[in-house]
Amino acid sequence: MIGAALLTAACFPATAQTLPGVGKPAHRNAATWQHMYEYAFRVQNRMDARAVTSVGPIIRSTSGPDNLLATHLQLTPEQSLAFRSAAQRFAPADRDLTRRARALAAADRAKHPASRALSEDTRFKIFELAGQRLTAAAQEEAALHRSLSAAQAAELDEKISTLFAEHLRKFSPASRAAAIGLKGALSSSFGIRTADQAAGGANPGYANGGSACQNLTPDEQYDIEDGCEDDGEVYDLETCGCDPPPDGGGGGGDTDTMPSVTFSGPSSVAQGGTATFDVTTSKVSQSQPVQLTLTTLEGSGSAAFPGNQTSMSITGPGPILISGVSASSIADNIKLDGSAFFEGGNYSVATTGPLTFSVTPPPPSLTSSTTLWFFGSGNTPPTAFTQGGIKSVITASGASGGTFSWTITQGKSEVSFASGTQTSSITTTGNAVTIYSIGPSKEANDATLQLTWTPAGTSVASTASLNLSVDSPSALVSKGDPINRGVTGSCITPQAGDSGYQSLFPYAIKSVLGVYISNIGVNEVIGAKSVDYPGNNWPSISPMNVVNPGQFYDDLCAIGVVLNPPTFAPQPTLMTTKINHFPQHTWYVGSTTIGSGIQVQTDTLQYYEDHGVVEAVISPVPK
Amino acid sequence: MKSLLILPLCLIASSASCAEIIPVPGTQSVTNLFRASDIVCICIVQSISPTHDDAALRGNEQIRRRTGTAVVRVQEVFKGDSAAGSLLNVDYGSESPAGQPSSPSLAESEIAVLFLKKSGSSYVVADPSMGATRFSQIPFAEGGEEILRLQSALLAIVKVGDQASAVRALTLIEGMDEFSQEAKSEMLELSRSNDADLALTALAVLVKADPAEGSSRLVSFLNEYTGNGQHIALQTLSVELMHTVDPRAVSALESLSSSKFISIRFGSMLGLRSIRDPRSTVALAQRLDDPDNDIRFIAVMTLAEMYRKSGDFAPSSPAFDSNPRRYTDLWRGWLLDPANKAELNILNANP
Repeated sequence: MIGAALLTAACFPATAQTLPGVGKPAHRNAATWQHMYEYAFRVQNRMDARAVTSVGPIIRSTSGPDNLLATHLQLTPEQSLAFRSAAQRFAPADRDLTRRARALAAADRAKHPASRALSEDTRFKIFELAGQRLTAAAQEEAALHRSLSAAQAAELDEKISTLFAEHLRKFSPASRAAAIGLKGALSSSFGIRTADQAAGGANPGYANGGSACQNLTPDEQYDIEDGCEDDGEVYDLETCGCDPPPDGGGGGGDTDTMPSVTFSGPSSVAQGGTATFDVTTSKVSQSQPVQLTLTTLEGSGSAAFPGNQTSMSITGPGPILISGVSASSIADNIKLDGSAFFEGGNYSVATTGPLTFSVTPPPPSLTSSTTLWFFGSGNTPPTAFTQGGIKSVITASGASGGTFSWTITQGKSEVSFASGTQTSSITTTGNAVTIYSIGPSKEANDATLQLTWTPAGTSVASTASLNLSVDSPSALVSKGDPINRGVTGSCITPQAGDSGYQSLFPYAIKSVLGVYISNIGVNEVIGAKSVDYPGNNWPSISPMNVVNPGQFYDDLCAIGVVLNPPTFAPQPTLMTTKINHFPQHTWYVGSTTIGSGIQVQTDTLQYYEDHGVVEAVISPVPK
Repeated sequence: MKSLLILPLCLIASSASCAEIIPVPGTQSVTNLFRASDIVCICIVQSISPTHDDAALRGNEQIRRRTGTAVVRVQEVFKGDSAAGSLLNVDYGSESPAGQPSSPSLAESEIAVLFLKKSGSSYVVADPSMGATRFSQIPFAEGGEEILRLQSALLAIVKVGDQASAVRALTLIEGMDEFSQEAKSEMLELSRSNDADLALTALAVLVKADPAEGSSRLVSFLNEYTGNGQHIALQTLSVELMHTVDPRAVSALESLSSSKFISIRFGSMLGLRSIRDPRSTVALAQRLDDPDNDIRFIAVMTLAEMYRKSGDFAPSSPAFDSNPRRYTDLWRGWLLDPANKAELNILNANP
């Protein structure tokens, strides 16, 4: 608020004692009235935006915010309508010129970081802008007066001068101080009396350009120029800077009683999204009600208190959550003005705390096309497998154009942007990417994919993330009693009989994440035969495979009347003579290729004369 | 005398031992096999001619390899361009001990439903477990097209064949995706059979054809059943129940989830997990105390999926196995907590 504060503070025309009697137009000082109307227009505009900054004494009215100023000044309907219209016409120039002045100051500071003051050139340009704004105010003032009768205009003048006098008397001692410090530079330009001349209430040393505030830093200079209004603080004449307002309010020009309101929270908010900020008021006693109001100063954003309210009242200090902060455009810095207003005793005061954040694109929504599975390197499930796949397409909904930077931030041993090898980052121009499983998850959602999306034509990015799981076969579970039955014929298509036996052990396949897997390849590796019955001629067995339709049997079959010893159908009491056993019988799931896939169980196949047994089962197999 | 010659595998019929992985009968897709086959027929084996028989080493182990050709006469065709009465050459090959999935065995004069694929100038059996199914007599098909006509022929076997043939025919019917009204009626009739194998196999077909009716009939059957449970069909039923997604079957699945047969509890619990009807909450809560650890785990995961819970409410399988009580107690506490009553009520009211 360099420009605005500069003029408001430095160019006030007179004391409250002199202004109410000022009439129109005979003894009007044009520059003085320009300042007064400029101030009044700005107050009105701020109030129209439901702000209370700098109008503390006025807001004591119980009227609604839309007509507070009119009520306070007891404007007639004609005056109120004309005045507000003029204020609204002035608003664009006000915003533009103020912004330009601030930009000039910022650029100057950036250019001369070591300098303790703004350059003369910059100061001159800022003053020029201030002059332009005064001109704009004067134009609207003139239009305003033309729209009113002479009597109404004169009456309005008096009310406006009263407003300005109240401002000087009640609210802005810092401004007066600042004005005193700048009197040399400005008084001649505008031909008005300075505050010390009018009220005689400032630090003489400072007013005389004394040592306390000479050789100012840019920040100090800024504080003087904006009268500490930006931060809701009070100007300290001894330190030449802004101090936090003290507790308890206080009255009139007691600068030690100024409160503060501060905001903290994220530096950016996604477009259309929400964020939560903390609001803290200080120097306010528990019994003092504080009115908080939010309004947009710059950009196209908005914010609201809980309940979608732009204003709320609290009592005493403490954090308050602001939610629903949103912004409507990308790459646009938003500045919200959070104002705290409270009353204490027979006075009231307002202060502001800027709430500034940048706007990022709305975060896309990431979705995965299918459940990811891992069946061992290079293994692809058959087409009949419908529970997922070994790759998935991740799509960022709500995002198009620009660049998409994808990163696997967690679970790099589980998922990859390349098949079979670890690739943890990739950039695409489309909003989709294929991700491959390269290893199993240990638990659900233990892999994280992050997207940074930068829309075309901007440098502002938004991020989104998606947690992923890679399921994988874990164990065989046997859910059914083994079946021992007598058979004849061949072990391929045995028929009921008593030539030998068939022992069936049912299995289902359980995954790491607790899914039961169907239509996936299963195979086994069989360890070397170990003879239990010396001299037996039972043949060896070989590894087999199958595509599991949901459950399958491990089938231990022996039929052989010419075998030694011969086979029997299962006896009422199962026989105990062991023939052969096959330790290190290992099961794999994920492929029909022998020995390929995920190891899920080891056991020992034991053949007896009349039945078979699966022993020493270990499932899942410790990794 | 009928000379038994093994088309493939696992040694000569009179002396064999093997360890195989075989699908639970009835659970493989006959429909897919039908589509993949060039010829589906009822055939009679005319002759079998070995063409090669030798021994070889596989690693340190001696194996026996044999090949040959069977000549089969087409009796009835359900798919393919062969006419009834024509002869087909069916090649076979085997090694013992087996190094690959087994192929079915056939003998001269045997009657079988064959699913064949073209291989050069002859054919091969299209699937080791379902490609050749023997029957004791030639069935007669009535009406229908292609696979439904095959279904009709198999139903004829069920009606007039011996018990073993009937069970094999039912197993093939179960693998189909489409069922005629005649088939459903026959299954209902068979589900009342005194032969538990036959009844349970028919119920497996019925659960697949009409999950609500089938599972309800299964509840009734098991309530009356007093046998020892040594039926392959119980495992078949387990698979059919686990694939049930029909919400009309929920009530029966809940009842079956407390069956004394773990295969039935397992299948019905997985069916409930697929359907995720909040009204099953009580049945699922009861299974938190199931004697079987995997059943308890399914109960936990189904509740987690139903109530959209994560973290400790939905542990990984290894985590659950390390301390099942921790997770079942967590759910038991959540379900009993009055604070969650509203959520339970809402979900139960809006499945």
